[in-house]
Amino acid sequence: MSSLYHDELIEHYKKSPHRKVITNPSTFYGELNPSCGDKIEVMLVINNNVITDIGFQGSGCVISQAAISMLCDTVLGKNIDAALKLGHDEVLQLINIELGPVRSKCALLGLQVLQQSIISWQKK
Amino acid sequence: MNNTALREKFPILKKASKEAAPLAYLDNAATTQKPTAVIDAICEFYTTYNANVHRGLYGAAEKATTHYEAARNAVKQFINAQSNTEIVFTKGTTEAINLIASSWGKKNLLPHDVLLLSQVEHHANLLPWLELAREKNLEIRYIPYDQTTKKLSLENINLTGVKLLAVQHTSNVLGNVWDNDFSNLFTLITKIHEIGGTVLLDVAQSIAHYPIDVQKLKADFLAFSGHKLYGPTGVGVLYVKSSHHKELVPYQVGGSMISHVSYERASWAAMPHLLEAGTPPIAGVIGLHAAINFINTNISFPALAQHETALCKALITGLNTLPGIHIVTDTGDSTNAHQHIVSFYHDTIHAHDIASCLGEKNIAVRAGNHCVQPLIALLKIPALVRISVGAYTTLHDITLVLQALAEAINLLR
Repeated sequence: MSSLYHDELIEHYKKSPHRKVITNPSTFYGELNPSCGDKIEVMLVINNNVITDIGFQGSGCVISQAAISMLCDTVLGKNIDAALKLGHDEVLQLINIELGPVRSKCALLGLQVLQQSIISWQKK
Repeated sequence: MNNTALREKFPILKKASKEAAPLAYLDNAATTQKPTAVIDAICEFYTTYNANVHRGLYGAAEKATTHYEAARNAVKQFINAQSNTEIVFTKGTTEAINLIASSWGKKNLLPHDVLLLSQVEHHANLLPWLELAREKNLEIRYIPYDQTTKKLSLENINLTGVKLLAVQHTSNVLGNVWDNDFSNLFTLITKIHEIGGTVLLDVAQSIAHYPIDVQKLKADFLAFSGHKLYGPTGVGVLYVKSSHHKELVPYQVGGSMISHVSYERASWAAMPHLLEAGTPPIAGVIGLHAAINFINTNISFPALAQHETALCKALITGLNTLPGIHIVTDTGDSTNAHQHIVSFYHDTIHAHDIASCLGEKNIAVRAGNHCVQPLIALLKIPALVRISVGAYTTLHDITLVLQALAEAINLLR
C-alpha cells in the first residue's frame, strides 16, 4: 500500500537484528539531528581491520532507523576501508526508495555516524 | 461557508490528472495557495508594464509606480493604518522584524533595557532580539507558556524596564495562546504603553484569519508576509506608526532611499522610502494587492472563523479516536474560539513518517520543529505534525487526512 515504506524497510525499522548494545566495543559514536530529533549511536568490534560485530541504538523516523540497520547488514564482516568508501548514492540504493532533499538527511545520518566511529577508532 | 466556488479560483487545487489524487492542502501556516487573480496580476505586470518604480518617465514606468503605490494604499486600508507612509514593503516577516531590530532597536535601546518576548516565538521573532541583546547588552524576559492551560501565563510578569514587547499575535504551532478574544494581549499592550514601552506584533499567522486593525491593536510596529495571505512569496509588510518615524535610521542604504547624494555624504528620503533601499519586489507588491482585493471580494472574516473552527473541531474529534495521538494545541473544548492550526504527535511514530505517508497520498501537512526549537524542547517532544486550514479547506480534506493517518498508524505502529 505504501510505495515509500516498503516491507523490507518496515522490517528493519521494527525488528532490526542489529538493534543491540555491544558492551566492549572497539569504538562507538553517536549523533543527533537537532532539526528532527533522529538519534543514532553505533558500536563496532574491529579485528584486523574487519568489522566483526556491529550494533546500534537510536530513535527517530523509519528512514533513519532502517537505513542504519541496512548499513549494519552491509558492513558486517567487511573491511573498514570498504565501509569508509560507502557514499550517499550507495545508501540511497540500499534503502531503495526515492527521497527528496529533506528526507535524504534522515537516510544519511547512519552513514555519517558509522564512518565517524571508524575514523575515531583509526585515530586511537 | 460553501467554499466550492472559492476553490475554483485556485488552479493548484484542481485535479491535475485522472491518475493523481487532487491536492489536499493542509499546510496553510507555511504558505497559502495563490488564486488565479494573483497569478494573473503578476503575469500582467511582467507582460504589459514591467518597469522599475519611482524612476522612469515613460508609460510603463509610470503605470508600474502608480500600481506599486496603489498597493501601499490597499495595505494601509486592509490593516487600517492612518497613512501610506506607515507601510513599508519588505521581503517578508523575517526581514521586517530584522529591520526593526536594526533600524529602530540599535538607535533607541540602551544597555539593560528589557525586551519582553514569549516562550512560543518562532525563530524570526526570537533571533533578531537575541542578536540585538548580545550586541547592546539588553535583557530578554519571556512570557511563560503554560502547558496545562495551553495559553501564555501573564500573571507575575515583571514589566519593570520593558522597552519593547515583541510577540506573535497567533503562534505558528499553537494558534491563539492569548485569551480567546485576545483581551489579555490588549491589556498587556496598554500596560507596556503606560510605562513608555513600544509594541511589535508579528501577525504572520493571523493576517489570513483575523481582521487586523493596527489602531485597535495599538501596535507601534506590525509585520506580516504576503505569501501567507494568498499572495506571492518575496514580499511582506512592515507597519511603523507615524509617531516612531523620527526614531528610525536606514536599514540598508542605496538607491531609492535617498534625498541627496554627493561623493562625501548623503541625506535620506522620508518614510516609507527611507526603509525601501534598492529596487523593491514590484511584481510581489502588485500580487499582494491582488491578494488583498481577492480577500476583500471573496472572504468574510466572521464566516471564515466559523468555517475554519468547524474544520478544526472535526479534525480534533477524529484525532481523538486514533491510537497514540497527542494534540498539543488548545482543543478549545468549551469554547468557540477561532481555530486554524492543530498540532500533534504520536507516541512512537515520528512526525516525518506521518507526513511522508500523507504526502504519498498528496495530502500536504507540515512535520518537524516548525522553526520553534526552544518551544519544542520545552514541550519535550522530538517533532510535531501540524495541520493548518484556510478558506479553501473542505471537510473532505479533513476526512482524507484522518483516513490516511489511520492507515499510517496501522502501518508503522
